[in-house]
Amino acid sequence: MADQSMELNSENLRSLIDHSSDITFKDIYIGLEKNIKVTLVFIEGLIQKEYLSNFILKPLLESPNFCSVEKEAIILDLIESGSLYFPSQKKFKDIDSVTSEIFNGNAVLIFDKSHTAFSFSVQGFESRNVTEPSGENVIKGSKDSFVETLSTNISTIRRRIRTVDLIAEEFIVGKQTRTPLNIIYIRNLTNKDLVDEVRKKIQSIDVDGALTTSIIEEHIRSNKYSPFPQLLYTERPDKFCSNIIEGRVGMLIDGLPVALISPATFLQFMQAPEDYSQNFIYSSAIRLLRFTLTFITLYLPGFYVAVTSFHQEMIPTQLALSIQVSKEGVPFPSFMETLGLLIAFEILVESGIRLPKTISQAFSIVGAVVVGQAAVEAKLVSPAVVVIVAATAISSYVMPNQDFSNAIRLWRFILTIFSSIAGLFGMSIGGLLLLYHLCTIDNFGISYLSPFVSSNTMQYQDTLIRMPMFFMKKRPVDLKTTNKKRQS
Amino acid sequence: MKKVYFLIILSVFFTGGCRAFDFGRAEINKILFINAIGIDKANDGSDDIVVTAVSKNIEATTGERDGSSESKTNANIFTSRGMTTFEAARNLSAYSDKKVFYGHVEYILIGESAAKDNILEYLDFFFRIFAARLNTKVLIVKDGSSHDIIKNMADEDIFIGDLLKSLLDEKKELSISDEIQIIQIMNMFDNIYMSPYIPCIEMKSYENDNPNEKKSKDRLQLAGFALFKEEKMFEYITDKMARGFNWIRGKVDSGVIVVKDPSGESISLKIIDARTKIIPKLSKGNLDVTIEVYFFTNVSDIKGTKDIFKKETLDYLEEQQENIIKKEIMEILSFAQKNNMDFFPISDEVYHKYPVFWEGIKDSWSEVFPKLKISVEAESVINRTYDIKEPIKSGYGVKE
Repeated sequence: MADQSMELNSENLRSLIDHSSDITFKDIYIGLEKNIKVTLVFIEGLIQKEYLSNFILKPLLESPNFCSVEKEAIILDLIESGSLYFPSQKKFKDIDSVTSEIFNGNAVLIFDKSHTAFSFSVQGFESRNVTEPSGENVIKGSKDSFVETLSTNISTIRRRIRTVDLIAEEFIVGKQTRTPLNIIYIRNLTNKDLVDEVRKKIQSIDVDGALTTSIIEEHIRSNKYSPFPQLLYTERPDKFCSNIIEGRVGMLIDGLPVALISPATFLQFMQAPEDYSQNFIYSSAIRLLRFTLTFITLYLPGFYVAVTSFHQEMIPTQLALSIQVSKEGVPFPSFMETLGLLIAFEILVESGIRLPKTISQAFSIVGAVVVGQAAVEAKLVSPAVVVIVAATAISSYVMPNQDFSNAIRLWRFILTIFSSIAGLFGMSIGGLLLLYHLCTIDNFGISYLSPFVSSNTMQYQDTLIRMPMFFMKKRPVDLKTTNKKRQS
Repeated sequence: MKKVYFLIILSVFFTGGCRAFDFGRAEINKILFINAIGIDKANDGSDDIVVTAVSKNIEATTGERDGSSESKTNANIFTSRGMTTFEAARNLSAYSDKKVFYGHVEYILIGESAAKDNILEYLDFFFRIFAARLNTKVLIVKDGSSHDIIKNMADEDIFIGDLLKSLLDEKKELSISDEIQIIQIMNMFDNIYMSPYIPCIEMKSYENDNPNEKKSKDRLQLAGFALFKEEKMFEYITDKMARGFNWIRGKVDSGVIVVKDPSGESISLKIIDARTKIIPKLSKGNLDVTIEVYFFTNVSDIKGTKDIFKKETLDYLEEQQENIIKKEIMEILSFAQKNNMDFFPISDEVYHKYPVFWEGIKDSWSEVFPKLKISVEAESVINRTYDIKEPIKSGYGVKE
């Protein structure tokens, strides 16, 4: 950016950054004889103007302390000793850090003669209020969510975890955007190697801008070509905090209302925050249902294709006859019907997202009528396939995590194609490939399928079912936390 | 590993179109689901086999595709003949518009003439092909051919598969027949010390009450068992004899026993539970066998007006029903020993209890069995009755 040899004064700064209309320079003359020139620099919109006028300009021009001074050096001393009504200020001698202070939304006072600048944190830009989470709603649980402002998010977390050991380390990501990113962990609890590893990976991120979560996720995860999410994202502070105290590392990015948690395992995408606020028997039943439906949404279309075009003997006779009758007159083979309808469903979903809410309702009616009824009546698809694809689609919505659901959607297609080539044999090969793929994913030494694949632990208390809380005395062993026990 | 992964996907995709890697794909609407199949010996003197296949017609719009098309039926009947079962079955494809598929064959009906000839010759095809299920039920058609039965039922507008299913579901009400699957048949014919048996169905004509229709109506019913010597059918056993056989097999679920109360009026008892044990006993080199039957009954019907729920009367009734059951069992036992057919099989029990002794006598089992001393012991309890205890008119409940 700036030349190292450039002296810190208002002229030089002006030449460096005074190209944009929103950067304001204001020369003020203060002191007994109003002959000491001070330049105030700030960016409009990023600062709170009342703070600036009430707590900086007013005392500078009207306070008797400043009005009686003749020399610049004394003013500098006064500011440093706190005569301005401001809790903290930073003193700078080099032009480089002064520029970055301005662009972070601070106001800077420049004293030309002594080549000194003070920055005041008067940030005050428009920000969204903390609202209810839009995607992860619960009945019994907190109703706040993360917002775009990093400091607000950190304060939300501090309000929940009040230990002195909660650490928020700041990094700057993005050459152009200079986005602040904080990693959050608990000292003396989270595994140090894990924190070091995350720190190293974040420092090595070399991108233009960090405006989306994928920038971070794609740099941090180990299996770069997997469709499966390897970082857990959440917009719920309570979910974030429960992961932090479990011994994971969290990441907050300024400008994004979601938090990232690493390392993520397969199981976490199956857990909903509500599981832990309801009766454990009910939660276990719901979780079993979730696993079953995940299985169904993954395999059902493939299974249908396999049994109707390869293993007709597997279908109960009466059902086989019903399917046969329903398929009478349909010109396409089963797998074309199934794949076609699956694709049609994806099209409906995708176009539904892009449309405004008012239109999308009408659109979904058109879609449902066209696909569900007209296509059946026109003998383009058989009703049995419509039922199968509908069941598949509905089942896919029980998954608490959208990223994971998307990965399953992709694999559903792969498995259907495998089944259409070699029946259940092909489906098993596809299933094995999926399992193999999941086994290869490993983040920061923690396998994706843990604890199912770990040999050294038997921590199944919170897997297919959720046991009562007093069974979960230890933190996940795989995380290798410094403090192993949750409850003593 | 990445390469292997890649290669698997590649090979699956690129061989998908090859005819050789078709892996037997067939669309479900191009398949003819055979539900029941009948096998008969041709009745024109040749050695040919006649195969009659029935598939259910859900839409019930098309007529019989056999040639002689009749009114709307809910069954499609296909008939063909050939030198062997397989040839005959293959010949079905000649005029079927769909691929004939044996994966859903639920019933195999074998005509009497075929059963008397050599049943294994006819069934081998179904033992062998992978498409057929091992739990296919096999039935012998008593006094007739399977083709006639299938045809008659179709004329009556009854789908034979549904009818057989409900008949076999109700088999335990009388306990005079049973359901035998093809895998059991394979095992029975494999056991050289045993005489196999297969349940039978027969067609009976009944008077039709509806004057607008034909005078008589044909009905299928389960009719005991067909007993086999080697692989040829030997004899039928029906009714009480068949139930006696089921007592020894331990397959009696329910049934009716009619006894007389002390005043000579009939009382029906319903069997609600029964257990049978075949106990071979070896003492001083002599083998004898005891068949122990233990069963419970409930009073279902009293013809007289006397109160029978007294200890002495109940004891009297229990003794009667034990004797009746003993008689049923003795009857089938003497039949078996007379014809030297061990179809229970007692040989199995002997082998399991005295394996060493069995090694010594197994070759001469056909000489041992007819002379074997078999005794029957029956033990029974009358448990209770239902909504009313004393019969109406017995005077109970009349207030003075």
